[in-house]
Amino acid sequence: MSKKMNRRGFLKALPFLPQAALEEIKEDKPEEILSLIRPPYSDKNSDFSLCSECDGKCVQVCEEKILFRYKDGSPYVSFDGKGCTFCKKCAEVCDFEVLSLEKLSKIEAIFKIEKNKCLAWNGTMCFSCKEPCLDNAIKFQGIFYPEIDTDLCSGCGFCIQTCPSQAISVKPLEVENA
Amino acid sequence: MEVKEKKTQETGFEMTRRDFLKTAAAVAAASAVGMEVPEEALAAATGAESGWRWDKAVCRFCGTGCGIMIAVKDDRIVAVKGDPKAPVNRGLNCIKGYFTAKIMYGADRLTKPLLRMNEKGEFDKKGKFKPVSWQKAYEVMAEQFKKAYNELGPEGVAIFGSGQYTIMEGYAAAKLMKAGFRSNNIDPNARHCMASAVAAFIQTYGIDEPPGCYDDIELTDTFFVWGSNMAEMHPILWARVTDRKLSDPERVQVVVLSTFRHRTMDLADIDIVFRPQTDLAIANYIAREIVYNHPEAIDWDFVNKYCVFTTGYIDIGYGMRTPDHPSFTDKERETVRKQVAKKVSPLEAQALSIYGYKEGDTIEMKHAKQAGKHWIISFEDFKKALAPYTLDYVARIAKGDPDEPLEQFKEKLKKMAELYIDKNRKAVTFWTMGFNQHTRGTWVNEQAYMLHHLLGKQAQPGNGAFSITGQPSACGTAREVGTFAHRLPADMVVFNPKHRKIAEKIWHIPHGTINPKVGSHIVKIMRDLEDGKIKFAWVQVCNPWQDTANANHWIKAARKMDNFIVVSDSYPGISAKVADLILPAAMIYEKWGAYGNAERRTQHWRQQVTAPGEAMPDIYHIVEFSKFFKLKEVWKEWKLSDGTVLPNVLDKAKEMGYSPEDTLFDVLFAEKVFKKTIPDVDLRYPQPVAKNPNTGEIHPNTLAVGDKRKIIGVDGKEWKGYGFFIEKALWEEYRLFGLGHGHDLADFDTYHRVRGLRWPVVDGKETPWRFNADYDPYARKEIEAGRAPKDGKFAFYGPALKKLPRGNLFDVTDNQKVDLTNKTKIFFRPYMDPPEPPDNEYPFWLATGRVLEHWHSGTMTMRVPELYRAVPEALCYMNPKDAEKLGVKDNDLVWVESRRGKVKVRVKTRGRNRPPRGLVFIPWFDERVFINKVTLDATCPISKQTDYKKCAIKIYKA
Repeated sequence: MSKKMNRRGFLKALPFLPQAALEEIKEDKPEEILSLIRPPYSDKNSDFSLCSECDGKCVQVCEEKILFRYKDGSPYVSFDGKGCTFCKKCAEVCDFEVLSLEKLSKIEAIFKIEKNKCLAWNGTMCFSCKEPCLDNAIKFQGIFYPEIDTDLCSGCGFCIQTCPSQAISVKPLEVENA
Repeated sequence: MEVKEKKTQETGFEMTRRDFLKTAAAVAAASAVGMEVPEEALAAATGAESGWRWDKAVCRFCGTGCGIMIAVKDDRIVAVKGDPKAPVNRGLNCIKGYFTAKIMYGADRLTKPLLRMNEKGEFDKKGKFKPVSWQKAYEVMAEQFKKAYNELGPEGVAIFGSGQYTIMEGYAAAKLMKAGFRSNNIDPNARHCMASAVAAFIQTYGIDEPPGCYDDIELTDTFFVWGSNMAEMHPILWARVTDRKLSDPERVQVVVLSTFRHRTMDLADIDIVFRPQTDLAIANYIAREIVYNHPEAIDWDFVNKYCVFTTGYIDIGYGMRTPDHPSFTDKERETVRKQVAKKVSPLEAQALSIYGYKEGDTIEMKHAKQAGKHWIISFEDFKKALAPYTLDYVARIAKGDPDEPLEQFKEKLKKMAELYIDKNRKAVTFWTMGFNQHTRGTWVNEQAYMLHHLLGKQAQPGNGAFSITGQPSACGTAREVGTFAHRLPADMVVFNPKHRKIAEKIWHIPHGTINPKVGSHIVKIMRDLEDGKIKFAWVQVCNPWQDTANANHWIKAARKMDNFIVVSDSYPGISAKVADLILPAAMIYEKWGAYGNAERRTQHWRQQVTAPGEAMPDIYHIVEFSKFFKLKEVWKEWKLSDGTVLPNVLDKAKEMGYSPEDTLFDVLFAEKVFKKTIPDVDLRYPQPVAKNPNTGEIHPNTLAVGDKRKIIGVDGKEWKGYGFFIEKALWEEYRLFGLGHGHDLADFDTYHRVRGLRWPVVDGKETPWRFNADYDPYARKEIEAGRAPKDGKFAFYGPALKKLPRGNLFDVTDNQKVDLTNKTKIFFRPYMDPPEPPDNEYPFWLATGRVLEHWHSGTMTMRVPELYRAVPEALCYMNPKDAEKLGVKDNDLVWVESRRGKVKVRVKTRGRNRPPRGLVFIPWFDERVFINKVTLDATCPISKQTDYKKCAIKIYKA
């Protein structure tokens, strides 16, 4: 990669956050915490500092094994070939109401199709990403030019690994807005 | 339509016009095969492409026939893109086409011959595969072939051929079998894919393949898609249909009929989910609407000038073996007994009332051996036969979704009929496997022509019933070359003495050499292996042990019987695993070749790269084998099992200058042979056509001059090539068969200057619409000669089955034959149940098929990481209510079990296919979900094509 990038940029450019990349993070800068994708059933009011007092029950019960603990003990999502089924278990076991069924059953993240990489943006008929999208959030113009409707997208993440050209990227909402 | 609006939103395919074909073609960027493509790389693409050698080629998936551009660097394909100059796809590509070159670079490519051997290094059927030299492989293979051949004669050996053969490969295989071994036991996997279309073409037109072409898509305003999920199986054609629809959404109407919902329905204005097999009834309902309620819609000028009404027997069975066969279990016999007799069901009763049957009566299948016989009937009989197909009756038996209100279904049927009937509309009917894989497949194909002929909407721009093919060269090779048990090249057949004579003359072989008896079709080759009637079988460019229905029988036959199975393949699929000898085959761009697509377009490509290891092109496999046989071993007298005697033709051969000691190579494939058959063709290599049009480099040709690998060949010596341009030689000789009678192909070099041509190619011009004098010189000739009406513009000049007796709905009544020169036919065919509808014990319909991302048995596409990632396993698509009833949820494993076998498969209720309650769809690409253990090997009795869309199963939690 020839383009010069700072660490923020580097994280942004990754299609998802593999664990290895996160382990590199040594300092506890606020923007790095912001770059974590949080589990469903959480929102801005979720106080993840409470997680340091918990033994990470939510991570243990996750059926799909997509939840991991950050070093401050708080849970984050990494879609490594899997996705969220919204089984509710992480919220049900949370003793601190960080995760709560009262909150959104949605992963707050921005999924994007990179047009340069996407086959269907480049004259090749492909709609592999549509198959796993139970929310019908991936909209095609005719049979090409898919875009993700962020209002409909639940953030389950299953489309990421289905994409044959790895054109779907995900970023946490805060980073996107920052 | 309100319903429509809602559906579009649900599926996410938006209907806004964006002229997307043009835009997409413009941005179609070449993306490097097997590399990540970051933004910077794309931007720098021009620089990176330096040193790439681009050339045109053809995609090897599906019958659409898309043109692709291939870039090669250092003897490796580095990029593929849609060919902007290709008229079929105009630069577009589908996901399989995009990755088409990557199939060649899987980690487990077969690179050496592998033989089952014991510890002593001898062939042993129970041994394990070990690598051997080409020499050893062929010694064992020839010995095993001779054992079977000498014991059982030409009927004891067989080739499983393919609709993915290049034209030259198919031609070489057919020549070796028919002219050399005098065996007609060569039949392609294309039998599974379009035999019903062929049978209907021959019965209706007397000549194979569609009258129309893809241009109809842009010229029509009404599409009827029956039994075809084009969006996934023929995506580029679907892109063109979509483009047409979006260009004028109000005017252009799309009707899609299927037994379950799929991607193609997303675009439909009318979506019809029907009960399996009732397409027969729906077609007759439309015909009834025309004849009874809209007689003014009948194009009487067309009908009177060009058509006769015809019908045939109904008691023709279902192409199954009889229940007394020892290999059947009692469970299987419950279904198979219908081959002999069946009871008229409540669903059939009204349809079959015209024959005097009522519910509960027994139909004895007396005409199973005369299934294809047909005769002329009067219009009055035709009309009478349609009487039962009222809207009430057809809607009652045809409604496929139990949750759809009957009135809504009726409304859709009515609207569909109106669209066909509307004189101000053109009509294109497309179909694929839903029609063809059908125990009445020939009938339902003929019904499509019936509708178009009644309305005079055929063989004109924008009007036509058009059978789409599944495989890249099902038309070009299997059908046109005639790699079938009954065929010779250019629509000729082995049972016609005139045709045999023509073929013998072109091939320079003695009169009487070709075996007149139709050989075993592909399903029968499997059955014959099980019965010990065939003891040597050779698989070429296909995977029949995964493809053939009721697979448990055939796996056992291959491994437990005394026989020898050879598989020429590039990857170890199921067929290779059950084989005794595996020969490593070169893949598509590792050899020169040509394919013919569904619109009669023939397209050639050059060899682009060298094959890996010791893999060699299939032509090498075939031609080298011919060297092991002397004429005295094959052209002697043979007695066939039915008493037919193939005469000793060695004396005649001597008169022709052959010696009994000559090998089949000497008389079929050596350069001196082509000097006789095509004396004026330049067969040197290299020659101008071998030059890359952009760089001037000479393309490789492993067969002509060998290659850098210097492999040790069958004779134990370094392979240096045949010393002449054998692919061109085979092409030019093959071409002789079609010239002058409606099958004309251009010369070899021409195809390297164009992006394919649609035959007949006469005076350098292709023929977009056949039988129509505005476009087809053969039709003009017939009219000018006064053999077709002077005041019309059509001549349906196909020669086969054009002398018919007269009769009524039951049988022939007057054996005096009527001459039907330049006419076509309007068939009446009734509704009949399939042989295995669901019952209490097996309550679900099973339909099988494909998905966009994978090709056929998945041996190639499952090895492309990107395609594997997109669809890693075959799923059981099921209605959510059925899943709930069975107590299973998405991703749970279930057993799917029929009377023949069972497989474990994962459930999907919200995927791309949405079946109605009572039906599941399972694709067959995944060898781990071996669904053909479950399917039924019933066939259309006329075409012998298997019905993979209908059998009864039970489902339970695994």
